[in-house]
Amino acid sequence: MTEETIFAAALEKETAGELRAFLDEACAGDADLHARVEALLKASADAGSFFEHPPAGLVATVDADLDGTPPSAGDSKNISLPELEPCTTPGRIGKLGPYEIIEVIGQGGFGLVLRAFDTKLHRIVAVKVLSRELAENPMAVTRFLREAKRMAAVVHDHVVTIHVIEDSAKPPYLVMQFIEGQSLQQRIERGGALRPAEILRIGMQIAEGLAAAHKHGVIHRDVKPGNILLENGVERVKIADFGLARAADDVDITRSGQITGTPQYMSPEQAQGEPVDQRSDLFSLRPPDLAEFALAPSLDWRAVLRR
Amino acid sequence: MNEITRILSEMGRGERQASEKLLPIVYDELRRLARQKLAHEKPGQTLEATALVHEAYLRLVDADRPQEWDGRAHFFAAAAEAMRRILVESARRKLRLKRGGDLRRDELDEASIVAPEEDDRLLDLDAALEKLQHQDPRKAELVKLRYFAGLNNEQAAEALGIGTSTADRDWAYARAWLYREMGKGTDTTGN
Repeated sequence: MTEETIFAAALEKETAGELRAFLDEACAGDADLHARVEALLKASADAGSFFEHPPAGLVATVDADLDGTPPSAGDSKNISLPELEPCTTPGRIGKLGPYEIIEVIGQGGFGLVLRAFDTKLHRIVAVKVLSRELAENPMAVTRFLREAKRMAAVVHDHVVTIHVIEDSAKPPYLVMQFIEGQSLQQRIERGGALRPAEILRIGMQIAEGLAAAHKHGVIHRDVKPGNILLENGVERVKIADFGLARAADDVDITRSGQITGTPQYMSPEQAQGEPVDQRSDLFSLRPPDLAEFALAPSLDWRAVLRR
Repeated sequence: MNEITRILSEMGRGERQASEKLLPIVYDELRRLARQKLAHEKPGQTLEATALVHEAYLRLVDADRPQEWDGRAHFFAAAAEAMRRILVESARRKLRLKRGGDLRRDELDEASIVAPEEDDRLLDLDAALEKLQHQDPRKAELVKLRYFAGLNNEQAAEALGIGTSTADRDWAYARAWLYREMGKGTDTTGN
């Protein structure tokens, strides 16, 4: 047995007596090996607190801004994490309220999506944080929160559930169900063509989710494969990001007079900046895009929706 | 497409020289990002090294082209190594300054690392890590990903292409090994 395998097995021993007996036997009279393993075990007990604390950070000093050249962002994008509190749990980037942030899983026009651990309810959640830029725009904040509140009323199998809306946080954020799985976009890119039966099943579930939201007067505004999540295993559809596109749109319109969104899936009225209703969502849920990805014969989804 | 995204996709296509280009760019960008952020902080505020790495990922990797984990793994490997260098250089420089040796200024001097004991510990760790790198490169890589890039076990395992239970075992052994090694130089009492 090597030092490494003896060490691993020794960690499993529950009592001191058991451990001693095991070490004596495993090291078989090799005093040097015995000492090395003992030192490892001792170090292992002490190493925990050292390695579980992240390395000392960089500290700002008074002189920091005396540096001659002004720092430039270069081609870096203007995206940043919200201010996080330090977190002592290993493997966490930091803490946002009671949520321990594990990693960044995505970003959209509205801000960032983080995977986090809810320390109160002991579950993994997805946290959506409004970007700093949008958080500075009162209209965007109001709309973001209003849409989120309406969305929170929609409880449906095929819609991502909103758990909490932290509207007094700066920037505000939403806590939602974390879906273990992939987006329809990723599914198509990685897994190739969808079979007609899958297209039908997924299409039906999207339509059911949208119908539930529409019943509550919530319009998605950005239905596209990237916003359709497929839960691991059964690939149950969960629609994400309801109404959030709107918060982002407002700011972009006021700033540049242009409309942002996902042109490929946008309805004509949306592209022209006219008022949209649930029909725009149905426009986005049209088959050619999926069929094009999937190399499957075009299906008239509207026929499916009428059922 | 920005440069880092381009390199990541070249690496994804198996172009070998690409990985050599990645580290210096990530290193420069991390330094620049640190400097830029520190300039806006009040004196005494700390910038978490691991948070910085994750933020750098967001800023530097093209969001419009979703990265396969492969690309993220390459990025975090380079960023962990870059962050290790930044922290170690900063610790060395600060200890030198403390001893009144080298008064040369450098952009990161002004925003250097916290307590001197921590600088010493970091340099001890780095020396031990270098030994581990020769003996068992995969474990050293794992330590860098977890400690300097702040990845969790799952993420680090995925980045290295190993199972999570293997990563778990390796981590337990590597950190005990490093800590034993760190104790050899500084601890003469045997405690």
